[in-house]
Amino acid sequence: MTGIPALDRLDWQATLFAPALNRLAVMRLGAPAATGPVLRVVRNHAFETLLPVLAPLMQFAGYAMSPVLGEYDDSLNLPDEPYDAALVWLDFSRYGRLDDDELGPWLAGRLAALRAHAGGPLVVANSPDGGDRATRLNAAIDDWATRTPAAAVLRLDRIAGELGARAFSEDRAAVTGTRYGDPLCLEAARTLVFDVLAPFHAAPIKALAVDLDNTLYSGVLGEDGPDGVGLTEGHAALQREIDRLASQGVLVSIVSKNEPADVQALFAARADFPLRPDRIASWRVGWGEKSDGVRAAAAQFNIAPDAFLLIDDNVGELVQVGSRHPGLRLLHAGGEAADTVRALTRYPGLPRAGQAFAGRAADLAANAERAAMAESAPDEEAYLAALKAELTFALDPVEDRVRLTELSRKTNQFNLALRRLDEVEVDRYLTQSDRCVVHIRLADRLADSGSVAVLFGRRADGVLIVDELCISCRALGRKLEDVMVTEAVRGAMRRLGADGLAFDYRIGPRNQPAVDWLAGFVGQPVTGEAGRLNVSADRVAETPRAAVSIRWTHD
Amino acid sequence: MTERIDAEIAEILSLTLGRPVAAGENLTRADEPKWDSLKHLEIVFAVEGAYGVAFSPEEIAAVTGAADLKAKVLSADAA
Repeated sequence: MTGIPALDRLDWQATLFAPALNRLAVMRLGAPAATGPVLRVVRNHAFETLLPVLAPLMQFAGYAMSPVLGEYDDSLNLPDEPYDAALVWLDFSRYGRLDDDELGPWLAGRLAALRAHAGGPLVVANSPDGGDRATRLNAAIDDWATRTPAAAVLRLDRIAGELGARAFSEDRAAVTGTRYGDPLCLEAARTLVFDVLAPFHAAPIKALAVDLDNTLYSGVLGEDGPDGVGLTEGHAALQREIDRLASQGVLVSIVSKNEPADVQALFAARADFPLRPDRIASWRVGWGEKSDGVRAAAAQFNIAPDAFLLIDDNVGELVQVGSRHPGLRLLHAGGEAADTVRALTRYPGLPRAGQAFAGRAADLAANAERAAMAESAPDEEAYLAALKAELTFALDPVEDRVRLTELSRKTNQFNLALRRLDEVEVDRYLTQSDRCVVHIRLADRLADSGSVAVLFGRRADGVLIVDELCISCRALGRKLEDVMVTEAVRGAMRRLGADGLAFDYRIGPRNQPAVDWLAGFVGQPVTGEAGRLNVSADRVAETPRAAVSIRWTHD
Repeated sequence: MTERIDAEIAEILSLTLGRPVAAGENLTRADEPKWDSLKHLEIVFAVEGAYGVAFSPEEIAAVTGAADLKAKVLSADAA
């Protein structure tokens, strides 16, 4: 995925997660200039010196963009050329003629115009200057970002706060083209790539595979025993960070070459470990290859191995697993544990705070029991009755925009038209009168599965066209697809006043479950690479089976 | 000491300009067409980061080649 050999990634890690980026060390990585979707930089001061640093950061993060710099322009005119993402890079000290009360509204107006001009992420670098004026301006920028689809803030104020006087080189501005010092520019580049753009562009990390000896603690369990291994401050911080990620829905597996009984005894004995065993969703402890352990954990989690981040102190293990599972991310824990924590905290692809589904591990743990229930139930109806499934439907829930986008962009198996909508496109479905969105949440008597499905529809000639239909793999296998889709379609048809129904589809490499479902639902084969199937409205006229509880919000 | 500085300055120039530069070679802006104003800043910033030195605006403008970069590093070291 990243094009960086596993062994080299370890050197890149040390350079790119260093406490402060060193320009020479970054240059030594030898990353070629990035090519990819256009990142348009709308600016009124120099950005050029960030360019050589962006390429290696993006390559490590697993995505590429081509930065294109506009001319210096204080008035923030709309770019003429098309772009896929934009960064607003303004030195706000140049707006001295605008009063404090004028600057925020003026900027919000220009940003709204930029937002309307093109889709894709729109990032605004806020003011690093400090003081009341900058504080009010930054609050206005935060407010705008909260209200605007696919908007994000590059928080230069935080970086400047940490750098202190080194953030600025006022006296060199005439020579360098910016008041910002090189340390501020370097950290801005890292933050932009790892923290701001990665949630839009980097492949998501859904699970951690964590080694034990000299990774989660210092020492070797087989030699030192449960009471002999050490919990340094750094290791405790690492365990807390893993625990925090688990609380956000990142699945955690232990992949370790140890005796299973020893590991069990370790976690029983060490009450001082911040990471408790109930946070571990999969234990892959034994003497087999770690690549097999990752594969087994991936199968248990129903995700691909490339959605894992492996944390291990052993370079050989990292290289072995990385070579077996291309695209799997690697984090070398061979140095100080504090270094590992720093890298893990901002590793690109991990979920943004508060965005992931915290109950993922519990939901996953319930799958075995669900499978047993399905096995023992006399028929499907009895199984559903025993499951006590509750489906909650929400019509046009604007507040769920980010999650709805995530469902469209990240669902692979049950993704019917593979449109991969971005936030701006999702916003159109949420707000335009001839379009609608149905968001579905699922719970059953075993666990809460949270947000699991979405339907994006629009009306054309009195027909509801289902432009996109996505169901998370977490909800598959419970025989609820027909109920979910039927009820969602009924709600969408009511909302849009449609009396006909059609589904768009596109056949891709991994969405066969969705295509098979459609063929079964309409009772005819799905042919060709892409197309539209008209369905009799009678197909959704009947009330879904009573064994499933159905509730609407936002109706 | 000076050999290491020569080698690292040559490396910075080589990586920035995309051409081999020998350690101790006094490559100058006048000699190298790729050494434009942007590359000039990248070179200065890389030297600053590598040695913890800071160029004044006048010093940035006055750098004409590898020898000036080395002189700045050595003067900071002596101070």
